[in-house]
Amino acid sequence: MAPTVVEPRRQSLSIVALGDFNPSIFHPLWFSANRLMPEEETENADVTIIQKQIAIFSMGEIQLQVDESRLGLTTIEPSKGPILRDLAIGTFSILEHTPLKAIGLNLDMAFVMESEEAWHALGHRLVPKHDWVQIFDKPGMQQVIVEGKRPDCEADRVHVRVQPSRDWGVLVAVNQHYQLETKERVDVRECNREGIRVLQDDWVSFMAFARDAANKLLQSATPSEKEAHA
Amino acid sequence: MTTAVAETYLRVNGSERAVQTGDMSTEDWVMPEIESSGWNNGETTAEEFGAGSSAPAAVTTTPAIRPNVSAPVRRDNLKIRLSDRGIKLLQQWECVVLDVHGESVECEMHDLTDDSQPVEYAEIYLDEFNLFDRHLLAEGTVFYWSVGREESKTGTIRRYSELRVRRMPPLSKLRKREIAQEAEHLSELLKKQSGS
Repeated sequence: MAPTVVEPRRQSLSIVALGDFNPSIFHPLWFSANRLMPEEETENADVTIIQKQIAIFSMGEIQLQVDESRLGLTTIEPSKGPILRDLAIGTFSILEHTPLKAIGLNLDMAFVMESEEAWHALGHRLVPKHDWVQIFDKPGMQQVIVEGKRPDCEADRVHVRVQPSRDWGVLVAVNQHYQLETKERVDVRECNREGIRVLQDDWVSFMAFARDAANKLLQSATPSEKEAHA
Repeated sequence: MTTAVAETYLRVNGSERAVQTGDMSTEDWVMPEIESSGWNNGETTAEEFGAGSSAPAAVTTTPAIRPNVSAPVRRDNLKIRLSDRGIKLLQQWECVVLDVHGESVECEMHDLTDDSQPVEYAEIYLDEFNLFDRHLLAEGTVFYWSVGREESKTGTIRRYSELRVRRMPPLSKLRKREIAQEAEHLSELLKKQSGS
């Protein structure tokens, strides 16, 4: 059988920061006024809501969601990755007095396995069923999250989540999390600068790591490894 | 494996999350954690999977927004809109402008797809750049060049090439002063080293 094609059908890149935000200042025109986005794109932004407590809009194929404790920038266009990162760096540079507590880099990739057999094999390999069949019939993996640390990376933790979906689909979502506010680092500007450093230094290696993680997980999913079904 | 046709979230640790049951829509298999539910999916809060952990911390996955507002929006609105085209990115470079002369831009290219590739040099017609980016082109400007294939919903394949100039805000006065101080400090250290 041909090996699984480990090319995502869809992917979503996002940068999420936890902190204390003021959603009402986030307006598409704020981004062009601060020279972070071209006016042509902010004028054509698709605004869902901008209120005191929450702002959601998209501009130039980047979606922004911000509430009082969380800011997220997302794109589903693979080519927009560096633009997304630059937008986050620019935003945090301007908001240098906004407290940032943590930052996460995320890459979610949706794959389609080449067969139902390969799809099940992956689930059986990641969650062996021999213990579960003693409990109930037809145990099936809904989601697996594994936490670890990357060597040569200052991230506090990395989560890899694997989740099945319809039509032999598999979602691999990688989250690399950094705690910016720590006992040693309490100064707002210091936390902010650390967040910017993370985006500048770790983005490229994170992307490579996340893709490699998905490759390794899916490439090994051969039907021969299939365990006994329930 | 088994797919989640309907999901039920239980109230955990007194959190405000009510029991929810959401059917998956037709596109959910693509990005289930993003699209199936505007408010609650895609989040991984400490209550959810950090239960039992000694130090559950807030996490930073795809934003989960649970505002306490009677927002004048419907949940349906809070979805990432999938574009009607898919782009397969084949290669991407970060380019630094070396010179702009006449109708072309001379640049140094660093491969973002494979950083083991050597630095390359190219000359690109000014016409290739977005109209709103052209005035930013000068020596030292950074731009991204993405090359790939674009596939429409109907299956039409086109070559895709996009040039996009990097935009950064100017440094604040405070930051400029800090950088100057850091430079001065380094300079003094170097002087001391060379003197000893």
